[in-house]
This record gives sequence, structure tokens and C-alpha cells, in this order.
Amino acid sequence: MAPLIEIKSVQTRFGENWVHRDVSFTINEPQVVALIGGSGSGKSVLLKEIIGLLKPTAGTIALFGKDLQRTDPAELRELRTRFGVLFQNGALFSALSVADNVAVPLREQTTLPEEIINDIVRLRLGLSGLPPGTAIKMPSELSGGMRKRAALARALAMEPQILFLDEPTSGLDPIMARAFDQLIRTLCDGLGLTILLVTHDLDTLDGIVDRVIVLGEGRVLADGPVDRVRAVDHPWIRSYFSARAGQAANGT
Amino acid sequence: MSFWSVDSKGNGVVVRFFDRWELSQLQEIRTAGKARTQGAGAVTLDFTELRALDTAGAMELLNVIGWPQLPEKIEVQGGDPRFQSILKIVRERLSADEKVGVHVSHSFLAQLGEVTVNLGKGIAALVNFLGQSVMGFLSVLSRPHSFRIKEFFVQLQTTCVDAVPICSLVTFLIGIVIAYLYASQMQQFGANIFIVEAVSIAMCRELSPLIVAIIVAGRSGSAYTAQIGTMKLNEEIDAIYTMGLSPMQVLVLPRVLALIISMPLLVFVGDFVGTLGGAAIADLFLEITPQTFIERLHTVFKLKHMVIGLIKAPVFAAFIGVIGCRMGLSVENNARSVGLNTTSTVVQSVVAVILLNAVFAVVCNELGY
Repeated sequence: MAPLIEIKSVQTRFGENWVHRDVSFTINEPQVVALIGGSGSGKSVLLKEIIGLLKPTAGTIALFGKDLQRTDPAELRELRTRFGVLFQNGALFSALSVADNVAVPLREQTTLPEEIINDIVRLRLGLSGLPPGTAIKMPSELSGGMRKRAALARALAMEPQILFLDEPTSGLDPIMARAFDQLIRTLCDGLGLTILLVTHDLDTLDGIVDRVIVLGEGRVLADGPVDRVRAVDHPWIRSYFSARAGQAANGT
Repeated sequence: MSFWSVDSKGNGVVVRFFDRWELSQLQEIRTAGKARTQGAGAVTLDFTELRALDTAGAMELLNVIGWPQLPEKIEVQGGDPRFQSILKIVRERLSADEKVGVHVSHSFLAQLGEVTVNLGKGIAALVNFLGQSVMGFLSVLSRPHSFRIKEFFVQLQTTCVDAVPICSLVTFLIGIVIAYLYASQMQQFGANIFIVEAVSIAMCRELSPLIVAIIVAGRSGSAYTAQIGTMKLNEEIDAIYTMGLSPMQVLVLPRVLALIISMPLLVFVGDFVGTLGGAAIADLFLEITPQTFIERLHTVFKLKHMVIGLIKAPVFAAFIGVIGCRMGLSVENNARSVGLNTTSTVVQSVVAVILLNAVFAVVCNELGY
């Protein structure tokens, strides 16, 4: 079987500025993978390239064995129903209610009747841990945590096999953040989803992540389980993982 | 082709599932109806021949065996172990509440009431804001150094200088149209020469102020709402308050004053260019040379026509500016609201301008101007 996500020597340049010089990694099996790196290390750019919103300068990115740059529009459309994206601030359509937001991909990509779509919307809200009453609310009426869950429900709408999450716990309080982590873990284990998340949250790494990929200096600095990456001797990785130790020492 | 079959076994039933239970198959599965499991003591779900199951399929599977009144005892046998975990998570998280995605629709009467109340609130808020703007202006008069002179000139550039080409083009074309209209009628009476007062008075007194006001409402009023609205979304307005400044002083006054200065200038340009358009048509179709046109203009055109037009302009401008800024500041915390308010600004401004124009017409007539 072709790897779920395959990234081969990707290079990205904006003008004179090299974001990625040589980035390669492969994700073969359903697991929770975290992409970390300092500000400006190109995590978000890489995520946008994987989901096909940006084009790398060189190199190939393949999802389910299909190169994004070499697929025709029909194939790309089909490919896009097989992954879901949770944007950092939810990116819910502000003109639509939560239920209609979740129903958008179902209405656009399938010919299912409204009755079934309604049932699926209810299931998606349940899966992302939202009470059914949320369905008729507008995105502006939701708290940050609820908005993320509603956006997750929309990302799950088309039964994706891969879920991309951009900073899923940013802007959430620690209790909500940990609950969201658990939800991600449950979805990965229960539904066999592959989850690639961009994060800054050390607790997420310690709590639910199977594998960490560290981006920096335009390449992959480290790749492996959290404990192995923690032990890598690199200045940025050392200071990243000691950030919380420093906090504890200062008593803050 | 069937997606399941039911066999009885002892005091319970065995439901065998076949084929793929996936989102894409959902409609076909649903048309097949429900399995009869009611009253059965125990239900065994046989997944041996099930080839695929996703969450939507699992939801339908629960529906088939009687959700939300599921049999007490459910056993699963065979199949991919993942199917069981998917079924488990869906069963835990599927809500029994049927009422989801209800569209709330209001009756005509309720809508009429809502619109009326909103209209009343809108007018009250506009009057309130107008008052605040005047107070802000007075406080700037007492402390002139607090006026944002730089912002004022930036706005003057965009609302006045940058608007000259479009205003000229539109008023020129309107001048031509008016001249055509009169030319075709007046030729019949041999009253060609009257085109001079027709075009010049119509342009200077009514058309130029009105047309320029509509252009300015669409160009600058909407831009004010969009700019200030986006700033509000971005919490920049909150930042202004936190620094001890007021949006009235920083954003509203420079914009409104810039508009009040710009409008008469633009209207003057419109007066000139519109009359020029009329003169061009008079020369081409009525054999009135530019020289004759200007001579006639000197004798028949009274300054009061132009003055009335130029007095209207700053009043229109004040309303357009105040409406634009108010709608910008009343943007709610979502992207859609910016679009709605921008539309509303243009509609309100144009209606206000036409209403004011009517008031001016009545007042001038009563005063004998």
C-alpha cells in the first residue's frame, strides 16, 4: 500500500528567502504525528503545501500515493474529500449556522438527500463532542473551544482518512486543550484516522502524540517518538523541551 | 443486492452485514428499510462479510437495528477489529435528539416588526453618533493639537484628489445626456439657445451635487465602513481605546472633515465638466459655438445656482461620512458583518442624500432662491 503522506526533498523559496531546503518524511500508518519548529521554520507553509494550497518550489508531496502536482482537477477534487483540515481559527463560514457549516461539504460533494445529511451532521457534532443544541447557533455565538469543535465536525464531514490540524489547542484554556487532545486521540484510535498536527503545545506532545517531526534550518531536525526527539542534541530542540522546566524552576 | 440479512437463532437474531457500509452508499442502504430486531432478546451482529465501515455507515447500521431503541444485548462477531471500535465510538457519541438544523423562519408580520424596530434603532443611533461627532469636533476646536492632521491629509488625497477622474467622467457624460435630451426637444421650437441655461442650471444646482454625492457614497463611504469595520474585527478599535485615545478623534473626525472639504471641490469640478459636456453637444448638434455658449452663460447664469449646489455638498458629505464611520464602528465580531454594513452604508447614504436634496429644494423654493 502506498504511504498515506509522502514528502520527498521539498524545497520552498519565497523570493530570496529559503523556507525549506530539503524536507522529507513519510507517514505510513494511522497515528498522531506532530509537526513542531520555531516561528518561521515553515511548519504552516509545509501544511499548506500538503493540503495543496501552496506549491513547493521543488520536490514532491504525495497523499495516498498520488502526487498533488500531477493530478488532474477531478482527481484532486476526489483526493480532497479524503482529508479534512482544521484551520487555526476554525475558518467557519460566518454566514452559516454550525449545522449548515458541517453540511457544506456533504451538500457540495455528495448527492445525499437532506434527511440523511441532517443525520450525518448530528453524528459529526456528536463525534466532536458538541451538544446537539449547538447546531442552530451561528459561529459568532460560540466560544473558542466550541468553535474548534464545530470546525473539527466540518473537517470530519466527508469521512476523511487524514486529518490536518493547525495549532488545535492554541487559544484554549488548559482544561479545554487537554479535552481536545483526548478527542483527537479517541478519533485516531477509534476511527483509524491519521492525524498530522502543527503545534506549540508541549502538553499535547506528551499526552497524545505518537511521533514528532521537528522542522528547522530548512530541513527535518529530528523525527521519532517524543522521548527520542527530546534527547536529540540540538540547541533549538533542547531549549524547546526545557522551556517548561525553566518555567517550573522560576516558580511561575 | 441486499446489505444485510436477518436469521433467528435461539431466542435472538443474527444480523449479517454485507458489502461496504460507507458514506457514498448511505442512500442505497437507507432505502432498504430497517431490520426487525424488536422483541429479540439478544442480537448478534455478524461482520464476517462486511467489507468496509465508516462512521456514517456505523450510524446507519445502528439505525437499521432500531436506534435509538436498541436491543439490550448486542454482540459483535467476525470482521476487522476496527469495525468494532468505530461502532463503539459512534454509539457512544451519537445523540438521540432528532431536532438538529431546524431553520427558524419568521412570519411576514414578525419580519415587518423586526425591520421597523431596527429602522428606529438605526435612526436613533445615527442621530446619537451625529451628536457625538459634533461634540468631538467642538473638543478638537478647543484643543487643535489633538487633531490628526496627517490622517486628514491622507484621507483628503484618497477622497478628493483620487476621485477627480471618475467624478469628471461621470458628470461629463451626464452633461452630454442632458444636452441631448434638451437638444432634441428644443430644436422643434427653434429654441436652441436655451440649452445653455438648461444644462448649466441643471448641472450646477441639482445634478452635479447629487451625482458626486452618489459616487462619493459608493467610493468613500463604503471604504470608511470597510476600513473601520476591519479594524474593529482586528481589535484595533479596542487598542485605540486602551491607549486613552478615542476612535472619534483618531478615525472619525479626520475622515468626516476630509469629506466635507472634498465634496464641494468635487462638485465644482462636476459643475464645470458637466457644462462642458453640454457645450460640446450644443456645438456639434445645435450649431452653438463655444463662444456663443460662454457669452450666453455670462448673461443668463446666476451665481446663486452654483452657490446652492456648493452649499448642499458639505451637508451631503457630513452625512455620508458620519454614516460610513458609524456603520464601520458598529460592525459585529464576524466577517459577514463587514459586508452587510458596507452595503448598508451605501444604501443609507444615497437615501439620506436624496432626502436632503428634497429638503433643500423645498427650502430654496420657499425662500425664493
